Amino acid sequence: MSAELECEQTLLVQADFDGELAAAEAFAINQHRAHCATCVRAYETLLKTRDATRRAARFEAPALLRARVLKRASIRKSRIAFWMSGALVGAAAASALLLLGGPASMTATDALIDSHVRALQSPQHLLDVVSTEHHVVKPWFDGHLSFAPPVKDLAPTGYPLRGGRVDVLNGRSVAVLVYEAGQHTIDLFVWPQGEQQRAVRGSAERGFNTRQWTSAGMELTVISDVNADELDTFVSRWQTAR
Amino acid sequence: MTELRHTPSGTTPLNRPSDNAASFEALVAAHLDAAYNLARWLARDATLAQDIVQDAMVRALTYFSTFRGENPRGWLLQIVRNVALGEIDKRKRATVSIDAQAQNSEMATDAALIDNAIGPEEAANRADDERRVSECVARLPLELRECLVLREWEDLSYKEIARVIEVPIGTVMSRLWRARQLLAELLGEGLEPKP
Repeated sequence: MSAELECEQTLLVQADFDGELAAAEAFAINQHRAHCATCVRAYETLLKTRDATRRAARFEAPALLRARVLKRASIRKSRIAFWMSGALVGAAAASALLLLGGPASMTATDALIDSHVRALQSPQHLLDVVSTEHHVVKPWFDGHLSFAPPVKDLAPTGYPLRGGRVDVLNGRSVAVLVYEAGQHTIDLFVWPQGEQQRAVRGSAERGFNTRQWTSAGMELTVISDVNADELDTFVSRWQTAR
Repeated sequence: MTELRHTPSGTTPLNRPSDNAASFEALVAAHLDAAYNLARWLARDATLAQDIVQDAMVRALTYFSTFRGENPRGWLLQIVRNVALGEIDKRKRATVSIDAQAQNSEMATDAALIDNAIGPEEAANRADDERRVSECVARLPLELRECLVLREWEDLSYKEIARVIEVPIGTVMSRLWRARQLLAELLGEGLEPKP
């Protein structure tokens, strides 16, 4: 990009303008501005653009959109109430607890399954990047996430990579690697997790098998409708692959 | 590097009652305008912006029960942005050959980065002055425009912007500065009578 800063203090002039500096720093940068022609011009630019943006109104959500979104929320509410009334809830809660175990920030398996199902239902959502080449998929993730998920090609061991997508779970972006297992799809969710090490744990929920483990600071979860043995095979091949 | 003060400006605190759907409605009531404003500026098209917000809200509703963060507005805007970028990218691929021709003929200066793809009905009902500002903002490259919109219309702190667009605060600062420089240039050009 061409935008070289003429004075390295300019970004601090801007930070002061945006109310981001504490009083002492604000004072210091104002002292600087009194003697720096570049920063005087920068300040004029800040004033000019703010004056302009204040003149353009913020867009307000159309009433119809608001109504539609709220309607969806209330449909969802009645559905939750229905499920809560069922006897299933005890069993579901128990298995969720088993899986969660970790800190509250962990993503619930339910949300992962939802993502998996939604991706399968709408083929255009399944893959943001379509490639069987991990040399293509990996850099794509690097450009779309603040972390670098491990991308492995398992084609030699029977699970070709089909691509990947980025999903937002629990308020953060996660990488999803999509593998093919015969007629089935295996989603591998990856997000940074910290130091804690855990061996593979599994569950079966809503007809989907899941396996969850940690490796090299990443939390990994696979979800698929393949049977449990096949999923175990996938996990062990993934773990041994380079 | 000077320490930046975190200003949680305008954040609506949201309690966490057991009834998720009810508090989701509160979230919608509080932040739907913010979601739409961001989508509208990113998409530069009213219909597409509505589609983006609807899609984002469906996602948000799905994951709301597992949301544990402190800043629901930032969380929501992050989802809106991700959906918007996906949609914009999808549409761009359809017109990629035209863009490629245009780009090849220009030097990679900021001026060449200016996005000329303004929607035909853009800001149609706005007053002249307001419309001129909107047009100039709409011509900023997407990565600069989103910083400016989050800062100037949504009043997000640098830290909040950094989280929404998933870049370091330093990057937010330099993008915001480039956005403003470029906007000032565009506004200057606009003073001359149009041919």
